[in-house]
Amino acid sequence: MKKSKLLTWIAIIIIVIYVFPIFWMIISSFKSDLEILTQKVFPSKLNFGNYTYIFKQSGVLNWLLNSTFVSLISTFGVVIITVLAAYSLGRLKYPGNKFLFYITLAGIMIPLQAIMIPRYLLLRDLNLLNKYWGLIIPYMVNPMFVLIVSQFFKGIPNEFEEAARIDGAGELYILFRIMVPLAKPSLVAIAVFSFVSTWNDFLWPLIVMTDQKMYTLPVGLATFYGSYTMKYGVTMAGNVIAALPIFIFFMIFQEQLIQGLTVGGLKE
Amino acid sequence: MKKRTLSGYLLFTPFGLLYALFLIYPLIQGFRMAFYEWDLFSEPKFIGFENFLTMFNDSTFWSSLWNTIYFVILTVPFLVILGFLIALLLNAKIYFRRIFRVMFFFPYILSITIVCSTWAFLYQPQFGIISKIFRAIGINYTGWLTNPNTAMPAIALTTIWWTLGFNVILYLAGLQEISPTIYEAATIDGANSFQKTFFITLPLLKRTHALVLVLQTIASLQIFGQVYIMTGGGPYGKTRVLIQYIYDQGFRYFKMGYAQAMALFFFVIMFIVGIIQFRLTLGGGSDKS
Repeated sequence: MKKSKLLTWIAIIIIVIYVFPIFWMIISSFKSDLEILTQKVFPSKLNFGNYTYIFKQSGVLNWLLNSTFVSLISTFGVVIITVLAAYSLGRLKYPGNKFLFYITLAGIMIPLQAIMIPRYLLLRDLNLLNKYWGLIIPYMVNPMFVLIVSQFFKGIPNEFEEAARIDGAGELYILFRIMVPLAKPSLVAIAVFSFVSTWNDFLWPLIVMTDQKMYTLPVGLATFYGSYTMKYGVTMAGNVIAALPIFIFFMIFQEQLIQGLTVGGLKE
Repeated sequence: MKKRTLSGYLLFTPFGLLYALFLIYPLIQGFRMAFYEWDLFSEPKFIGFENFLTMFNDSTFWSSLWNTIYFVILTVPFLVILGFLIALLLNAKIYFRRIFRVMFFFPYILSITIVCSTWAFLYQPQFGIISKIFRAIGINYTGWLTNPNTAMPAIALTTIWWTLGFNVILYLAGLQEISPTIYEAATIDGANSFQKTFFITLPLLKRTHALVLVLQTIASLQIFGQVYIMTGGGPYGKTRVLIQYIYDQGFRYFKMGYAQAMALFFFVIMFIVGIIQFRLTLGGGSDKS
């Protein structure tokens, strides 16, 4: 059970190189333009100019709120819808159950990029372009999540359900009072994963939102940086602001997030 | 019994409706659209296979496809091999193991804009730190993102850095499923740690290797954002990838039908890779349950 010092040192060296870009991003956000031009490693003093600049000059705050709103609502929605469907597929026996299961399974094969154009046209017809709901509602359908949670429901022993049924409990009672608490780890995992992937999504908000005020943070910052290519201090300050909420979220939920990834092998 | 049937349908309904509306309907519509000349302003016009003929004769389509494949070649092997090696290291008996794992995983959850703009800054020709380091060791090369030969490798490196943590996690999960008794038995037989890694760990992770390989290929084929942010497809179209070309044709030039024909082509590729993934992850024997 002896721990290896040599391997620890190798790991430290690799990690230091690995996190260097993040270190450089943070440290550069406190540098003046001149310090960036002259390639000083450390800023002479902590300079918050880049941060005040970014809050004054752009809709960063707006984008931050958009991202928060969209990610929270769509995560809430996807969990509810997933739980209902997963319970139906995983625990209830009815004609067509198998068929619906296979239909859902087929859904994980559809890549968003292949249907982004007809989806865009659909949203246009529904008058949902440039609207929060146009962004949010499609995030609420995730066949992969339904499959993961229904597998989890399937694994719960029948005794729990039987006992409640004898006591006369209805489906919703069984679902929310018995199944959901027992399947909590999988639900937290998909919620956390949904939040992070929605927060970071780039392609879909880029397509749906054309009004700058409606951008989410990743899209907003990308256009913002596009017009200030040489202002790297400001860019890095924007990155720090954008990374901070997700960093805090990560610190709280890293275990669930990692679990969520390994449960379904999710990768966007 | 009857009541449960009704509940079954009712509970499936919200998902079912959204699924039909936002996945199935666009998919069917997408198949139709590819046979039309379809812009946003006039009536769609049926043109048969013309979009596909245009596509096969469009050299930009082929170069975008090649650039996508090139990106897959540049990223997938590294992401699989490095993912495995780093997982081995982080699974070994070392100090601060937990903190290392968390630190290694962190870049994966950063948004694409943060990652790409930070790396664009690192690659910056005049005052980027990478150029500075290279100058310090006597190599005066600065055109990471502007030289057609290095632009795609530079984007690939950024992507590897960004997503490696994900594969490490998958490998760590796989490593934890290997029973320690196997190693104990091998130790008794006199195997050294290299032999144990090469002859026990490597083959026992067959399923994980396959999973990582396929997931990684799917993810890399979908590349778009990195290119959109870091190079815009340049220099000289050397980093223009398939999704970007579809995006440009559809949303910038409003050639919806043509873009959709290419999207169908992309769908077929993804479908084939998806079937492989399906067989590896959900079909056949499972070591997860």
